Amino acid sequence: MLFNSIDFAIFFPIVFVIYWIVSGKLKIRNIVVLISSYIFYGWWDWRFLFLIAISTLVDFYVGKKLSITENKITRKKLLFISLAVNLGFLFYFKYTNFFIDTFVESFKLFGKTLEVSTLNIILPVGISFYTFQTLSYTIDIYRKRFKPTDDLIAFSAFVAFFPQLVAGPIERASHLLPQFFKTYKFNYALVKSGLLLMAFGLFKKMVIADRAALYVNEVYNNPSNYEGVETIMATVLFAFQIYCDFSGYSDIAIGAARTMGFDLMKNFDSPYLSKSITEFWRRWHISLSTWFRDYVYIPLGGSRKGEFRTYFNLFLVFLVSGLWHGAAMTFVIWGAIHGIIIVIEKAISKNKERVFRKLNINKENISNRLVFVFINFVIVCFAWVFFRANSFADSKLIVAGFFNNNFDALFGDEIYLIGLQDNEFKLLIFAIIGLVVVERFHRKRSLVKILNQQALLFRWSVYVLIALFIMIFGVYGDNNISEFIYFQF
Amino acid sequence: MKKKNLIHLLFKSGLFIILMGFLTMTCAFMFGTQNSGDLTWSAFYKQKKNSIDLLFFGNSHLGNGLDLNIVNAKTKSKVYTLYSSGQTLPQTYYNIKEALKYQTPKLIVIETFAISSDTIYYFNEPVSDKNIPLKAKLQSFDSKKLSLVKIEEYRDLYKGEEIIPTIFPLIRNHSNWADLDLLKGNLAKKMKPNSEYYFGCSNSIWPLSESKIEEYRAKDFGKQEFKISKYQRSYFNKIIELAKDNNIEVLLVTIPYFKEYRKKIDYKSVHNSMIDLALKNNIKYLDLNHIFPDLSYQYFTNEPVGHNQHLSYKGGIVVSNYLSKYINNNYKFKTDNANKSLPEYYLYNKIKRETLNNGDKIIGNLDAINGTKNTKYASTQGKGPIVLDGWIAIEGKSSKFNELFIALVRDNNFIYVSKPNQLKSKNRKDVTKYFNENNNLYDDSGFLINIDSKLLELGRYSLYMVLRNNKGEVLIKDTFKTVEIL
Repeated sequence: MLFNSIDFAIFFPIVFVIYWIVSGKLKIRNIVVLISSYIFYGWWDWRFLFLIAISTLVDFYVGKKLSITENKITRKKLLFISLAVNLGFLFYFKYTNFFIDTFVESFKLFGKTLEVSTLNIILPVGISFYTFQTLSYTIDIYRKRFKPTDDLIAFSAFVAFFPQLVAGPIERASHLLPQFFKTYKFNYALVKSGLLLMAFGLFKKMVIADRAALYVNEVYNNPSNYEGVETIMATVLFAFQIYCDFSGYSDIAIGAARTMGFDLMKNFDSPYLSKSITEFWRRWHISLSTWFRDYVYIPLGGSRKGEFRTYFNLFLVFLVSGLWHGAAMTFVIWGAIHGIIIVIEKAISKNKERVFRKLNINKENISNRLVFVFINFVIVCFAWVFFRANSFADSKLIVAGFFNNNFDALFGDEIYLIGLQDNEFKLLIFAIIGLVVVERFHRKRSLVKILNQQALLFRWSVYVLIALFIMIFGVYGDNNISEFIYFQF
Repeated sequence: MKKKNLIHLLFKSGLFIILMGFLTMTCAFMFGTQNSGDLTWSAFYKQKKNSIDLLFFGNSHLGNGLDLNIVNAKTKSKVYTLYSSGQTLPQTYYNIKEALKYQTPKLIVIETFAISSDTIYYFNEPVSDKNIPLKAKLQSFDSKKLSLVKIEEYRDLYKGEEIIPTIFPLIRNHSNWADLDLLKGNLAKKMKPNSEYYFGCSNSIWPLSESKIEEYRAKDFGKQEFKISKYQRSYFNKIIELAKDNNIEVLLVTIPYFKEYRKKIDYKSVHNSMIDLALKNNIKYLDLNHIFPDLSYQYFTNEPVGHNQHLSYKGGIVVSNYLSKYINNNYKFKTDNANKSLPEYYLYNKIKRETLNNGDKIIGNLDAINGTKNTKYASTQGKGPIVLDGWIAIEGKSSKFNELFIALVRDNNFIYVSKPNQLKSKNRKDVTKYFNENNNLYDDSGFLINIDSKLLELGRYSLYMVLRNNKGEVLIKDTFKTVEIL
């Protein structure tokens, strides 16, 4: 079920009301959450509910066994079972064809052609997300940082919790699971702020992301037809498309969970205002980057095993992160670019500080900050090319297109009409500017709090205007309902 | 406390949904593209209650095929059409039901393409409203006022995925927001609604081209036998019951099909089915295909080649004159309700109208016919258009809000009256200057019109200039000039 569908618009209020009617009875409440989460997921394809159920059962019993055994070998075996089952599903459904392709392609390098065809495998929606979430549970228990639960229903609801099931935020058991053992009092203010956050997420998704997609898809699906400014424009718009798409999903997820009393972790923090790639990853998909930090980077040795090993660990984490996003070489390259830049930033950080001091450059003044933000944004956009391109060959075409100087096109009309009408392009630009301003302002002072201080008539006018704005300017209808990009991961 | 808060929220949510529903319905007019249904219904609601004598229902075949201004003039009865593109019989039933809340017509005329089109279009697939694209269906739904009839129609005809877009036109048409001209136009129309004398006719002034005729000859349309489905019969029966309950007579009419098409389909089965339907319900049926079996291409309009051919204005004039005579001969209405804001009323009834009761007098001049100053002009049919150039105004009154028409009168069976969008307004500061006026009085009095001679039957036409002021009053001036089509 998509958040931006009529199905969800009917589903969510029903679940919400039932949830709060039974919220005093913990067991029943968790059953309601579990059933509604399974309906939410099964709406897409009920057969894949079995995968979630198997992951849930395996991790639940592995967790219980881990808590009662001190034998290191047994504990390792139990952890292996959990890793093998969860990562096994992930590898099978997501990476089988990728490895077959890579295998066949590598033989071609030696002049040999293998007659191996790929398998017809459907990728279960959100498998990367719930696999990582449930793995965090067993790993934390293995590390004795978390005690397992005896309540299968609560654990199942934690794994399948519908607001964040298919595209995160990837929650840690230590943060989300205990919330399934608390009863919540209906908090009107919290519900209202959750609903507003959901509306903001829908605005990002339907008004900005899906509109930008019309431009981006046209260019990226026909890269040989476009060059220069058109490809640059498409790439910049993709940067906002993917941000609004994914952070929009996270906002709706966090908002929906908040209306039910749950607190999900922050997933985005104005990432395009970062002054370095290192900072960017502290602000972009925070739940994933911290997951990789805690469960991959640190176990690899983190920064404890010398300078070069640190660089290697960092690079490897980003390579894996690229692969996590998609089973294609373009995602690996995207991850590698981020990995290389982060390694460079780490390697030159001390010297950079020294140079800044010597040249008396104040990193914090606005003009310098703007320069760093701009440079960082350019790097991020360059990397997005590989993330978005349909193939490596297409990404080469796009990058080559960047260097075809046709900046005079900026003064014409055609560049603004690719996949969009004139007024749509203007709206898109205004909406993006508005988004940046609102997010910047909201970081300093909560807009919800400010709104709550206003008179009733003003508040209601704002609510109505938000809803009307999305209804009129959103991209939907005529088979236009689009999935969230991160569903495919 | 908790329950109280939840109820509080649900109450507010309910209020919010109602408010949003109200706003989306109120704003919906801004985003819709104008269609025939909008025009006919919005003007219908402005008609004086119980003033209409003849009500016409059907799809675009009716809208394009008849010129009801002629029927209005010749029957001297007030005539109105509630046609809409793609209208089906079930929709016709609900349209009649809604119309009868406001009017007590004596005769209801149903054009049969609304019955046969489903089957002809869809080659005998199971006939239901599901076959009709939502966009077409909604033309007869959207502009009806919210009422129990509309709700009944909604529940009956719109299912599944149609439910939300049907009830919320704003959601359906939201993507039109980028067309600012459309929004502006819709807002302007809302501020200045259609005049109440709009009659809903949309006769075309473009005759069928030679290439389209060839396409008709080459195309295979299938020879499936036509049968009226149970589904349609059930709605027809409802219409008959409704008519009986309200003491209204019903007439079935079939507007002519293009003969190159008609001879390729099993037209006999269409005709026989309609006769059967009329006989079983004890009503009259007029198949104009039998009256006008050989109408040439000039009587049809130039549209894509398919099952759906429409008459041109020329066809409309001929057929409407015949239909008027048929109605006069078969139904006796003693009314003098005819709409007198239509030029045809005066032209067909030979009523001179150079001066109004308040003394307003029409002035003007037909300066040139095809660039000549001659009073008589002759042209071979099809050898280029008839171009008329001149000016019309009311003496001493601003010409800004006047509507101008040109009428070519051959005899009482063929009068060509130009359409408002056919005539180009020409700035005539020279006229204002000639009358020594200094307030731009006659600046908007000029006109220039091209008339396709293929849309005129052979014969000699007297030329009249017609003006309608902003109160709907018509003035006519004889130019004493003639055009002969050879």
